[in-house]
Amino acid sequence: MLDILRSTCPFPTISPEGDLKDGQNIAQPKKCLKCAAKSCRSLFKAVNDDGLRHAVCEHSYSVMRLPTRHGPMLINGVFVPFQNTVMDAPARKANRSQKVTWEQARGYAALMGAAEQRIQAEIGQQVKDAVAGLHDIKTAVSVVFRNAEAIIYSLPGFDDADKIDHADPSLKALLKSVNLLNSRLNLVSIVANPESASYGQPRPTRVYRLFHLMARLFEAEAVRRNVRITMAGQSHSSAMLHDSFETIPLVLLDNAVKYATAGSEIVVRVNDTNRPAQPCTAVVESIGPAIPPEHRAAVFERGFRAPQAKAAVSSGSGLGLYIAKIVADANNCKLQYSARVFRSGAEGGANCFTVMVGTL
Amino acid sequence: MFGLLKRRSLASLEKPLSLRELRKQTKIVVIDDDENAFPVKALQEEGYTIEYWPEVRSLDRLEQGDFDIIVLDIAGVAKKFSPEDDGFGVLQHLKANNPSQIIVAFSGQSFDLSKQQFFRLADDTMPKPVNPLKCKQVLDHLIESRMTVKHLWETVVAVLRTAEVPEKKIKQLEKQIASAISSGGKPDLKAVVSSVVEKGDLAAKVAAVVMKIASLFV
Repeated sequence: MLDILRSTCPFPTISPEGDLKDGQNIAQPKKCLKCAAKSCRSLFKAVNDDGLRHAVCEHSYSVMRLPTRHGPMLINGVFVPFQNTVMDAPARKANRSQKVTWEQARGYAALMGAAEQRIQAEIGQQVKDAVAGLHDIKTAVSVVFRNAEAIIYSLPGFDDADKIDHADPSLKALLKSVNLLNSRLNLVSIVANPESASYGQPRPTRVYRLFHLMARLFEAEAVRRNVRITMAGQSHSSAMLHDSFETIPLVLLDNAVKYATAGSEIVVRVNDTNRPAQPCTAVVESIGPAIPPEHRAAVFERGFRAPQAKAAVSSGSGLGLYIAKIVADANNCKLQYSARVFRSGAEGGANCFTVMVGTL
Repeated sequence: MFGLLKRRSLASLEKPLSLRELRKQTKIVVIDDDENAFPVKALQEEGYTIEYWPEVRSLDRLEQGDFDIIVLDIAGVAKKFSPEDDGFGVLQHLKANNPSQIIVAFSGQSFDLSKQQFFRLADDTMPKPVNPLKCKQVLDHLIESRMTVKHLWETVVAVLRTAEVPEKKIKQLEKQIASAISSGGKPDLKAVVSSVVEKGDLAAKVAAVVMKIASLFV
């Protein structure tokens, strides 16, 4: 979004990463292009409010900081007479050719804010339309749930868990499929409304048990792909987590099963850390196409799919890890990716995703 | 002996109940136009006291605190009472009337950005579709954490402090309630509350929570 806004801006801009972009009407000032100090960027960190801010950089150029809903941007090389009167005559002359007044910048900020709101509303409506049918699907899944439960409750057993344990394998498989379908529907809800990842109260959650349950849901798919899921480690601790946390094992195991080399083993290791603030760490390691170093920073970005992943499996939205990151943040967890490439230049490697529960 | 009793706080009188007893004692109502949405029968068989309403049958019963936990859908349940906001209108109304009322947002519309307030204002959420294990997890957590004398009394104190009732009066009320409950029988707790809290609306709000506290001693 910020890129779109910058590309429509009539004035030159700088991104938080230091990327300089010409404006529609005015190009980047030469001084800014040559400037190594880029002290103007300190404005990104120094100021943290919703207002339009003005500053003068060490080359006596005016800089406007424009907040947007998607992060701030800087309009640079702006000449504002009352701020820049200390400049010498040639400098003033050079700057006048790039003249943008405070009022113009403010006018643009207002226009941009309105445009941003309209774009956001449009995106919101598009998402709403796209997921409108989701409610009906969920209602239909409820019916399947109730019917499956009716069968389970007619079975002998001490309680529901006992009844499920002793149920027919085909009924167990049906239950697993419905639970998996339900978890996948929750993924879609989080894409449409990331806020929903933190809905409800955090509850004591056994992380090992959750990964174990999810591993069981993926058993059939793992067998179909000729990979094995092994649970390892030892954890007895509970962490206070939102229901959305189940999305993390879902995404990590889904990806691992999808991309693991046939005949390989996916290892899920959950260990206690003996630290109250960080009860446990879960690691999902699988052998498959490793993500190249130049792409690793983008692993959790929306829509990202590494070239190796695209080559291995053509379908995919690139949303899974993006959602997992949203959920990790909502649950005060840290999600990391690391890779071990077996040989230099070889495509194979071990992909390792680590969830540190209760840390941020 | 009498002096000791007089100094006792309400929380100290509490006799911890087992989860099984708490499940039985906690009155739950599920309000949802889809009768398949919540596993009412399965949970009744597990010992929960659950009533099912396809729509809000009586706002008065909900206001009076007849139910300890209200599991509330957002759509198609309260057109008569809140034509615009439906379930959300009921949630807002009940929370304003009795902040200690436990309400669980039960909806499959967590994806809808315009429904955020419904999920945020509720005490907990249960996204649809839901299975009995998840229901038990949510309900048990609420029962164990909220259905305690300590938690309910803290709610009363918060309400009274917001209304700027002096601390002395709050302590006096706690003593009188503790004394009424310890005396056994069926004490008129509404009268006890009214004798200390003068404002009618505030007294009604406090009395609703106090009645819940008393139910934990039955």
